[in-house]
Amino acid sequence: MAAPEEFAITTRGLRKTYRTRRGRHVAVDDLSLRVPVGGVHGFLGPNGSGKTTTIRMLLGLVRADSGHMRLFGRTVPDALPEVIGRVGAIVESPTFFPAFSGRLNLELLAGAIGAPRTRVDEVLEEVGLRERGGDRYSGYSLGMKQRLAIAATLLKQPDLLIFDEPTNGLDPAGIHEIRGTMRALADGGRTVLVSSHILGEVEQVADTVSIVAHGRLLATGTLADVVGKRTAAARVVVPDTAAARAVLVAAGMTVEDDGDALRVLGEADPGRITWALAQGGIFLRELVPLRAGLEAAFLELTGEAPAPDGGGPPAASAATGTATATGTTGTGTPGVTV
Amino acid sequence: MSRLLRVELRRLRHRRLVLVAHLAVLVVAGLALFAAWDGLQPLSPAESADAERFYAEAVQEWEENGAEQVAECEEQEAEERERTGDDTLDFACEAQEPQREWFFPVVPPLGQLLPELLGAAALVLTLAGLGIGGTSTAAELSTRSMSTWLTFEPRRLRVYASKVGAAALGVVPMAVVTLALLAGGTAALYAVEGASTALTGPGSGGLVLRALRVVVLTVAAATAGAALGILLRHTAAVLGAVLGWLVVVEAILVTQVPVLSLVSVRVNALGWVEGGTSYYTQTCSPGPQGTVCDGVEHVIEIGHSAAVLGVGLVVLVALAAAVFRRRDEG
Ligand SMILES: Nc1ncnc2c1ncn2[C@@H]1O[C@H](COP(=O)(O)OP(=O)(O)OP(=O)(O)O)[C@@H](O)[C@H]1O
Ligand SMILES: [Mg+2]
Repeated sequence: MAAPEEFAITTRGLRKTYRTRRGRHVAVDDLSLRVPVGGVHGFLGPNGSGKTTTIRMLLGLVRADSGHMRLFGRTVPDALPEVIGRVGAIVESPTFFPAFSGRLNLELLAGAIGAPRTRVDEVLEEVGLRERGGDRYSGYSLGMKQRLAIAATLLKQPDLLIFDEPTNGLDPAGIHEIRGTMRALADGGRTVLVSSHILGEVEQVADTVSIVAHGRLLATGTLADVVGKRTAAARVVVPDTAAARAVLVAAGMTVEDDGDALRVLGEADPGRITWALAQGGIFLRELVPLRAGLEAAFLELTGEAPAPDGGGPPAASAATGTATATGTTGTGTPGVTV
Repeated sequence: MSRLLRVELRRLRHRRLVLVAHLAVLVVAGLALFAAWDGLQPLSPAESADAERFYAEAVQEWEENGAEQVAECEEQEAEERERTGDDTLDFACEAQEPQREWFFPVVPPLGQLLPELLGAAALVLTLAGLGIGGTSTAAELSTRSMSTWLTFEPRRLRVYASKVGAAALGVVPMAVVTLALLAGGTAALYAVEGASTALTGPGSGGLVLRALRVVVLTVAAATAGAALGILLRHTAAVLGAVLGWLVVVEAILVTQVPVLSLVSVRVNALGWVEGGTSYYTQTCSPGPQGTVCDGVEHVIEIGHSAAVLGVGLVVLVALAAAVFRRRDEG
């Protein structure tokens, strides 16, 4: 083995245009991504921002106009035959042959990569489809299709899993299950890239994120780095509001009044608030992170929501995003849309 | 590569449309065998009586008007001899007298029936081959299961070669079994019914060669179908294109411009199976009694047919490979 790989995916200056009836359409524009090895990486952006197109380019399904891509340090698509065995991917919705059973679909795929047929039983078992494996794929529910697709990716025992909007159309239980699967895969040492147009869907599971809009990278890093710092807010209920305010301000936090309580702005880590108050000898009665602010910041960052003050380009207005924290409150309502 | 080919053959075996095509071919072969058996049956008493009656009527008609018909015929013969200056022209005017055996069906000799059956089988097998080849690739594209496949085997040319190769190999059993069933079945029927199984005409060696050429044609059709499936992405589009070609090019264009027979797929496929064929052009010139047309036969050698079909197939397969190698697959 050479030096350990640092990045599962890197792209540099990636560009793709589609020819449409109305001329050329830029789907991905000068995109440079870095997905570190290990953990779950959220690939976020509104509809039509080029996430699926990027994933297709990485897998050699569509050709990039220009730019460089690497998977585990190997240049793709040239080295795709060598690295594809380490990459399992579900692009958009699962696509299998509808008239064949789930099992036959997997057996054919296993045949293509020389995996033994016993492996098919194993992966069907793993995703809980053992009983229904013999049924026609066209009769599967959406959740079963998704699980079959995951089973297919597991045939390869991959180091990198790419899930493109895996929760599309699933019920809350299904979404929860997929999240659990992604977490378990990452905890097992694999790298997971998951795309979504809804921040709330991946924020609980993603270790790092990249945010794109109109085919361009807007921000990348940990979730807190990217959107959290700007807008994170917490409602703090304490017996003595004035004393708490003094302690928190002394700790370098921005504090506003919120009725009988306080609102701490720009602090993503609730632990720091608790710690500061404890240091000042103040007991915390209630600490509620205000997540709706996160979602609003994400929408604003990607240009999907107008900035409250109505001025400036989306990315610039995100810098003044603290204002959005005063919007609707509530804890972690995933899937807030405009 | 052989691993991919095995997988593709397995996939083909599980396709319902492929099964349906096989059944359709078997049904047609069964009908042909039934027709052969029917032709071997002696006439029923009612049919015999009818035949006798028709013969008697024809004889009576001849006795009444025969002399007149012969005279008219000889007159035309003389005119034509004069026009062409060819005294050996013979209109066989006396031969119009009705003969008894004309009214009673004769059992065609096996050596004549078998080549006819092979020709009919060639048409059915070619269409089945096109359909099987077409659906083998097009269904994967229209259901988008190809994109999943490509995330397991990204080498497009290998994927292409294995799929086209599987379609080509996959139809061989169908062609061989159908031809063996037809040939063996008719021979057995003739033997059982006590008809002569002597092979006049091309002889058994010639028949085996001809059957082999039908197998090759079926394989070529499946290959072309698979390439078309890659290009057109839908089974229905492949079938539509084949039908459109048959109507527009073969039925209309080639009929209007006979010299196009030289590059016609239908004519050359026929020539390939039959071991050579011909097409006819007409040269018309004004004569004393209006325009007179002469048909001229042009022979198409089997080598010409093989070359036309072979080059066409290679171009189609190469074109589909080039397109598939570069195309975006969603
Ligand atoms: N085959 C295609 N032909 C033409 N335009 C396309 C094609 N595929 C994608 N596009 C366009 O490229 C842009 C990016 O599409 P893409 O599917 O990559 O977005 P996405 O981020 O995956 O969106 P979503 O969240 O809706 O899945 C869109 O504007 C889309 O209309
Ligand atoms: Mg998408």
